[in-house]
Amino acid sequence: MTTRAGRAAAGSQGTDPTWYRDAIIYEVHVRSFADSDGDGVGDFRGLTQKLPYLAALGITAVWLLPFYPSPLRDDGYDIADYTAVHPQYGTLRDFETFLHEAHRRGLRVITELVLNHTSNQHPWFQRARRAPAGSRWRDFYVWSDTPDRYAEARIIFKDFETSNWAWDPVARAYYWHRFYSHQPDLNYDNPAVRRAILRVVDFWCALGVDGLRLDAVPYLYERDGTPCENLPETHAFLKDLRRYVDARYPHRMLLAEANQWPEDAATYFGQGDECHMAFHFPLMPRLFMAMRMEDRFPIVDILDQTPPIPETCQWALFLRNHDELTLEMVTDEERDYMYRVYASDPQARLHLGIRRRLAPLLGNSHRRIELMYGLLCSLPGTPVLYYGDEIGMGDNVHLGDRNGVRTPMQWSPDRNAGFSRCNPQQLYLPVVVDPEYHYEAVNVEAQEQNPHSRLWWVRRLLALRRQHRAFGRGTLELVMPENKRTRRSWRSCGAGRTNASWWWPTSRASSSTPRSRWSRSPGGSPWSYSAARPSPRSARSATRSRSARTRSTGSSCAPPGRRRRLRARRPRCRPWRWAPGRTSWRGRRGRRWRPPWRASCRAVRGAPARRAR
Amino acid sequence: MKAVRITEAVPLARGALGSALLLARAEYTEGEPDVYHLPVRAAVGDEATRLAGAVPEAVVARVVGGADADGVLADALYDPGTCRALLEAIAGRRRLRGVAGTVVCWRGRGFQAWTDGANAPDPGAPIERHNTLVPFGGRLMLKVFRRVEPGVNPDLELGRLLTHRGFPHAPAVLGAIEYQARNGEPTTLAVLQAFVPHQDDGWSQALHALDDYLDRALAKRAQGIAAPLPAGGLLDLVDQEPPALVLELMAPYLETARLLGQRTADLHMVLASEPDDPRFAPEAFTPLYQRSLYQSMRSLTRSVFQGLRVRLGSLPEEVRALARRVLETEPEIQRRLRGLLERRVTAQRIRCHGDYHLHQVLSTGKDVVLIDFEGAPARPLGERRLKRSPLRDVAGMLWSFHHAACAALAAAQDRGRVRPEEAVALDPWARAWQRWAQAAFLRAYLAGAARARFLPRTRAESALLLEAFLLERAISEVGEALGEQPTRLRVPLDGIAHLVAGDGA
Repeated sequence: MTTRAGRAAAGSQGTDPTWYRDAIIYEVHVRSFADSDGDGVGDFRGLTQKLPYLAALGITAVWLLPFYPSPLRDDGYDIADYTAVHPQYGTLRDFETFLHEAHRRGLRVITELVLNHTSNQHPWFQRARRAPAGSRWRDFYVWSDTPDRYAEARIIFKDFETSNWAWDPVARAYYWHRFYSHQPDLNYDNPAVRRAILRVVDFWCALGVDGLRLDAVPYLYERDGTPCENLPETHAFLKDLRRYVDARYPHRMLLAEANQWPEDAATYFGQGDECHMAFHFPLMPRLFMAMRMEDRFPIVDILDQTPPIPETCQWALFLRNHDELTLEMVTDEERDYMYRVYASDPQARLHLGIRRRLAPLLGNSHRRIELMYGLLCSLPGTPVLYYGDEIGMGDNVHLGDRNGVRTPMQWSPDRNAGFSRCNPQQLYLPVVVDPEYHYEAVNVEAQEQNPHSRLWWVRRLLALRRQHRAFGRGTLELVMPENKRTRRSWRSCGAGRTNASWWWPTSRASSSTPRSRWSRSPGGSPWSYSAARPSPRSARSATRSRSARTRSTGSSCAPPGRRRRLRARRPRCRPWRWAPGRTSWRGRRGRRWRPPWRASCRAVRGAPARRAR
Repeated sequence: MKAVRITEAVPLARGALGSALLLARAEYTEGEPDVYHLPVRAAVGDEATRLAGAVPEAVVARVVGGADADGVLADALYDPGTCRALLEAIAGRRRLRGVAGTVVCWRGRGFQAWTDGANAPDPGAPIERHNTLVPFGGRLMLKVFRRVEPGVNPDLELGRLLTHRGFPHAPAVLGAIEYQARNGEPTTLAVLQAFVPHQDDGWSQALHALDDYLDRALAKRAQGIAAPLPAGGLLDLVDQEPPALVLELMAPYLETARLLGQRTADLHMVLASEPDDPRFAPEAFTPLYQRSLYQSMRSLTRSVFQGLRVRLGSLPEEVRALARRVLETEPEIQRRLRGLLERRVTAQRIRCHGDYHLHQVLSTGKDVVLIDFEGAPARPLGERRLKRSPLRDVAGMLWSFHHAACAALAAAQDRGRVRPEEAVALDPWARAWQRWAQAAFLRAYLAGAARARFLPRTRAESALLLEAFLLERAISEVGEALGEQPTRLRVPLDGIAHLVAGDGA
């Protein structure tokens, strides 16, 4: 193992300082992934054992949720020691092993830096509450004699808290907390706090961690008369943090978690001198809205409102994460719509959001899930995948808080879904036994053996994404066909341009058949990849297959049987046309075409597939 | 429509051929499914023939075969027996078991007083609007909702609050019929209200007043007098006294508008007076709410203007030039809406009427009664129950004056009382009527709600909100008209043009 200094200097492998622009990030919690010691809670050794799976999936970076010592009242975000590992998950040595193994496989590791608050069990808070008022230790947190200050700050966890101030009987004063009352906010006006946080950054970056997710970064400072979010002092601190990290630890990444409207979230990039990445929160619910409304307008509108960002910065896009699907950055009417169509069960609603996983939200529909993944990977930004969504895991809304989406990873149909060998009652959370998403049906082992499974599809999609730099680094140019149910865009990077088009699946038998198409313009060799329901053969030949360039208004799909002939002739128009009044695609000679390789067409058209003529 | 499924049938009377309340779920190829409420009555033999003969439009289906002769399935609201049964169900607070839930009838405290106890009044013929209204002997009115959703209908919710507070200018809510499924919120099927004897609704009243006004305006114009069109924005006129000419031409209607403003303020004061009930408690404007308000208006503007741009070529000739002018003002509109972001507004959101315009006002001669609190029927129920700034209601009424002025001018042209060349010259007079009526309404409203905390603290903020809400109203009407009837585009486009030009709606 290399020395700490060596790790500090190099980070992981590679010399590209903007590696995060090409990354595909996988969000996972150590305790949910794999349990190696049979105590019912996942740990680092288990996670290390599963690294080959992650590498095979095609992701390039792993984002670990907090694994620090904590009373675990907020799933680890209430931290009691910043520079250690919770004993349930292993030791620091286990973490270092994991880090080394991940780097060896070419995976980067992003960990959490929960800047804004600590647990009330943290030694700093225990010291602060007993320290006399005005002392250096007392000022680590924000105290007040009355709960009236900063009245304009909103309450974030509306369903659990009624105020941002909580009374501490030991300190005999109110302390400020933007989140749960057991998570007092640190006082960033105190230079000792800032120095302490920088020492935490030192610790983890020195170990070799490649990126830090700055949790709850808009709420660092408080000022009277403001909503206590996005204050200029926060940005000043972030600039200092960035300078500090850049000077000592090259090629690291800071990812801001700022649940704000696009123009406010973009301020966390600064002039390229603050965070490297930031989550694009407002885009996420609009993907779901557009899906349901079968209209591209919500996506196009929010992209339009998103300001341009510095060249070295990157948005982080996601469909779901460990929290609820937040509906804070939408209008009241849109929130009502989302509740109505996605969370008709009131149990699924929490904190102005919906606490369901991706597959249950989309009704476990293959086509919709594929469409959403396609949008995630083709929009400008780095995709972040939540663990379990690649196999279509279900959730359990009857677990409290947001635990329904944090259930153990389902590896096999065996006991405890292969997550742990322990007594099922010992698991940190029960595995999903919902009839539609039961772990005996939805698990990695079963899906590995079926090349048509969701897992394989996601692998192929990620492979495709990694193949083209345009997705991570390219510009975005939206093409607006008249049919608002399609979304087309050009992603350009260097000499190549990649066209990504998506049609919304409708239940009508019309020309808007559900398929996705990726094609490159001539300049290089034209090729296409049909990803609706790829067969193993077409998947393997994806990079080699060729077909005529499709025009921007059609929804034709050249059958593979015709490929060779078309390549020779390079026709300018579609060989297949939709004849009005007919119910099938007709070739030039009026012959009906049936794609032999699409079993799903059989179901749609109701006739046996015939060999393509 | 893809399919219609009957999800619930609740029999009203015992016995085979009685009446039942049906809930039918209609599924469409795109969009969310709807649930419709159909009270039906099966009738056979002579009764069926009589019903089919008397009210053919009430027949829903023909029943073929069975032990008795053929019959018909008819809309039960046309059958006096069923209506009486519904009233008795409310009077008796009955619970009727259905397939997947229960129909629960509720009766308010005022029910006894309104029904004299002894005899139930006779039901009259139902009036079909987007809901069906069944009058009962001039004392009661049963409002039956057709398209129903889980959740309390705001008509019932707000009506109960107003009745409880003894608000005299809204019909008292005396009972309701709700459907309670096994789980979920109750669905409101019908509301029993006190009948409001009235002469006119606010719209006809306004049109009558405008008819007289336009006649007098013609005469004045013939004398060479210019139209008393005021300059300045909406709130600037509030402090001005109307000039003598205006008083001469439209003093009675100014009084009506003043009364309307006063009653609107009273309504909002009552709706904002329950701070302990989370359904009605006023909520302060936060920067996040302002941002989301701006976002919804911005998205609406963009999508409607995009649609207008696309359909420009297919619009009728007379509208096209106006549409082009309005399209050019889009950057200015976006700039005005951005004012919502830049300026901090200190106001509150409360439960409002939601669909406030002159049709929702009944004139009882001396006073006015405000009706129909269910909100815009086309919007989903959850959206209609959202809390908003009451200035949105005010903007709706101001917009209604604009509609009345345009409609009166168009009607006068159609009837031949005004020649086409005169119509152009009368346009400033119609606009003057509209502006002064709006000013009178607004002045009375601001005076009536002066002590209220739900209004913004400064005039500038009120002007900002009013302008934004008026623009929102106009642009959403453009959106609706684009989809349905392009000929109806002229009025909202005209309104937008005037709003952007800064001289009111």
